[in-house]
Amino acid sequence: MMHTLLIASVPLLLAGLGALVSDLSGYLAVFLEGAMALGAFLVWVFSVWSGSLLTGFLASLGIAGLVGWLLSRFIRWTGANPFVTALAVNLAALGITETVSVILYNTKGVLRDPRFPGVNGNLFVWLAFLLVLLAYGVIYHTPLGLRLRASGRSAEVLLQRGIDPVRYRDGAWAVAAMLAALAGGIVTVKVGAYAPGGTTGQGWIALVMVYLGFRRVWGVALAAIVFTFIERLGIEAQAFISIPSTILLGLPSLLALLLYILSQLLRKE
Amino acid sequence: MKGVGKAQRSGMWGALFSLGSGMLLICLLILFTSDNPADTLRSFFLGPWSSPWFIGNTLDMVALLLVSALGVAVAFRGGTFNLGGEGQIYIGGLGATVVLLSFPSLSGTVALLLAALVSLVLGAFMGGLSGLLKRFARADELITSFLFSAALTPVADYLIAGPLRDKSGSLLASPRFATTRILPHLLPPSSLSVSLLWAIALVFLVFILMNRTESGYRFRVAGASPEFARFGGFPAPAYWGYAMTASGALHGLAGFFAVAGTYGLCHQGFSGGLGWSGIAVALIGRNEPLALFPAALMFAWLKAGSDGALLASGLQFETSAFVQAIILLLVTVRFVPRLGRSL
Repeated sequence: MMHTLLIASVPLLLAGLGALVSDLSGYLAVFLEGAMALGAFLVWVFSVWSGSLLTGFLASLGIAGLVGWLLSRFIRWTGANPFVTALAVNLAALGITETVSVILYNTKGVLRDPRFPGVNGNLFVWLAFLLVLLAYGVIYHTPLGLRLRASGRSAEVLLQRGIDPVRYRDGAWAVAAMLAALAGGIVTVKVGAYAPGGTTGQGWIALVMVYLGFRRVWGVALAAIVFTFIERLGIEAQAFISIPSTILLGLPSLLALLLYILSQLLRKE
Repeated sequence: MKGVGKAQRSGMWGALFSLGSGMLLICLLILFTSDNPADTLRSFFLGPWSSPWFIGNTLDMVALLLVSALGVAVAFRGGTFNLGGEGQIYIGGLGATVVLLSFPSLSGTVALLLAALVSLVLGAFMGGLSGLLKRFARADELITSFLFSAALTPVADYLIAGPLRDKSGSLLASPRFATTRILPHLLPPSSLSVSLLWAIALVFLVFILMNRTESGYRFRVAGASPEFARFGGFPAPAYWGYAMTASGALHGLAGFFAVAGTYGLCHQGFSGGLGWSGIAVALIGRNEPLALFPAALMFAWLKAGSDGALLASGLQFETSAFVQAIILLLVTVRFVPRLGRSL
């Protein structure tokens, strides 16, 4: 039970971690939704193409990281609005996955292929655990992490030391995009096929994890696990109360909304 | 004044830059993928205006874009960002559908008015809730409006595919409304209806309320400069609720115009993309009500043109997402990077 729960919560945990890193830099990455969708699709394409999951993940993460980094640089170069520009990624991801799917496979639907490699789910749990440890170490125990936190919370301090605080967004957004793409790819691997819209809404829920976890690395990890648990309970409850399955698709968003409001009400300032 | 003029010019620049880039992107897509680029390009630029039927459909798109973009602009001007437009349009249209399919004793006009009111109230409720949450729970309206919309969309999907569905048809849609309960059409058989006139009137109404009244002035100041508003004695948070409520109401109305005007029925996912397009149009028009006219016209041209061109060339691309994406990516650009500068 605990085991399945951990495996199920990995994508949300990783994307939430990405959201946290971006939030620490002062600019919440609202493009996580798009990065997850892109990751889910690219991991499928590259893994089938190369026959290796590792290659698939590395290529997808590389592309996603580049997108996040370029986006942040683009905003710095042009003075564009970070939120509006990041929203463009969500829409572009929708268009790109669908168009490439039509060009390569002549379908907008679910992609299946016996060549798609499978892997033991435990691997992802360990990977997530290591990444949480790594994030904890880097964010709280290195000068880099200190400056990242300062860039979002007290930018003046960095300015006085001659460091441009906005520069930390470049790296933070690259990391956020990579973590979201990793999360999306894991969703694809767990299903064993690429389903368009399979990650819909999860990028936004990942943003909420930052608040539910009170902006702490372990908090976000715990929030993702608890959230997944409550979500499962809701789905299990379907056996007792008859709710149409279509309506149930809105449950994660509703749950995230309620918990988000609750956490904001409880926050002291 | 000089500064303002400059800001507006650079704003114009971003708008033209994004529209131009969108057009260029579509042209490139056509050139690289079409067997007959010349014909496809012609249908891209001229198709939307080539016959009364096409003109009607393009202008109808302008009407829907105007109302939803107006909703987005009102939220922005009040210092909020409504990301739930998509769901507010959907739920608003759904509410209107329920009214238009029931109460057989009501006359057509009364039913339409009631439907418009219901869609307006539903949208206003969804938007207003986010505004109040921002004020009283410090919850980011960007996130709450999106999640609320995402949570309710499956409910609408279910109702349209289930209880409201026309069982005799193969579409996932409601039955067609009675002819007296559809907004009068202007260029039949195109989808253009009187909703265009209502949309134009709404834009002027919002323009007057926002720019020619004292409360409108306070609303704009609270949105643009919360600090200044606080010293002026009208704290900005009080206006967030109004901004989001009005924004939601306009989105709900856009849903009403779509079902009662454009389609004459309610099909699953009818709002598809209209909320995002509204954001694009509002940003092209710099959230100025009157500037939404050219912005909506250009966007509708781009959208209708690319749809038509792709249909003509037999390609299946998801163009609307690309058009929206390229515009959102570039529309807020304030200056071109100087090449060669150390970056």
